[in-house]
Amino acid sequence: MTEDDIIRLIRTGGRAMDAGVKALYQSAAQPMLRFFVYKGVSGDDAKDVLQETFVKIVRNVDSFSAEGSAQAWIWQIARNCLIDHQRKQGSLTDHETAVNDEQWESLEETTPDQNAATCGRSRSVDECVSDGFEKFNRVEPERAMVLMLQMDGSSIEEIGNQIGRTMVATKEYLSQCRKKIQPFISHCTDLLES
Amino acid sequence: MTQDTNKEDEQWLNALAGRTASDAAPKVIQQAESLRRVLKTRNEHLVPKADDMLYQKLQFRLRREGLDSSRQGWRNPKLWGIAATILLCIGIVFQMDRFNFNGEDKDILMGGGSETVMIVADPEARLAELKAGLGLTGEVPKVSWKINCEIQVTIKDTKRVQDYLNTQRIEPKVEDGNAIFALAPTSPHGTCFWNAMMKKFGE
Repeated sequence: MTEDDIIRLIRTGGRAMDAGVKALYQSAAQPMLRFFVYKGVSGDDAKDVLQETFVKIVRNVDSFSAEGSAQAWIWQIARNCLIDHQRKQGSLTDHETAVNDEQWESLEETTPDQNAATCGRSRSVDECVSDGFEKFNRVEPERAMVLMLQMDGSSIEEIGNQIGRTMVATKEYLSQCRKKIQPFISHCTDLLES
Repeated sequence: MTQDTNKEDEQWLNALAGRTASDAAPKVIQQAESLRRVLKTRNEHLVPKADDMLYQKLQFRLRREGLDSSRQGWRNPKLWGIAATILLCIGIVFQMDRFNFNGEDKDILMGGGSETVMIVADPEARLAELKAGLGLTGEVPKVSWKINCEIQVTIKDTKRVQDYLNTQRIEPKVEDGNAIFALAPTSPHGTCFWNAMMKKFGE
């Protein structure tokens, strides 16, 4: 069942609406929970934001224009609910401007050495990568989230809908994510070679 | 060079998603697979499961917000159709009542204005009285029941008939040598149609 079918069912009301909500839950609830947690929301709060998202989808289902993508519309609501939650929590920050290009260059120069210093040979590669990822997540939570979505097997379109980018822009963003995380984890696999 | 980088990015991202290409460099794969293991373990602990219990909570929330199926029936076009039909039926009944059963408006609505209609509480009882009185004039009235609850009385227009009707304060319409008047109830009821049919078959 596509998202368009789901929206149609919810619009119909009655028993069809129940079926639509159930289908939406089965297809979107887990990706949404992951998305909220990846964006820094706690597990319990993620459940609340999920409920809020579903309430808004059902309440505003008539405002959906059939010309647009149903999946994009659903994820737009999820993103808005997340922003509302973060505003209430006072934790809304602009992740994309948290680190500018100059700062990145500086990070790329300094972080590997610092990370290498903390990653002893006795530690496993996974532990080293884990440390590196946590550091990366602190400075670039949006990119860390996109890598987690990629790890989950989400399609380019799904990731694009979740971060509000086109498919082409999402592809480019994913490539950038790989480059940006390298200063944090590349030394981990170097350990194996040495 | 750019093509190689793009290919390497693609291989790395595929390995991160659990899809390993056979021609990828071991170092690229190793790193991506390690990151995949780390993220999987991390997320298993952090991300809650979208299970039945959470779904039940969601249903409860939707019900609380008035968005469950029992209150969303108004969205169903079939129910709208049924509601419209019921309203239409009610409207028609009201209109019929207004046009056909309201004695006060009858003259205007029927466009005639010449027939005398007496509004009485019990037309049948009044008819019995009048029939008894008219019987003394030597003429026999012809009575017909209409579906709008009126009882029409037609009798030969003689002086004795006119004198009797004057005593009853009835000024009948005179047509073709006949005096015609009608009796209508103050509050019409739904059985008039069936009564009229029964009387007609009785005739």
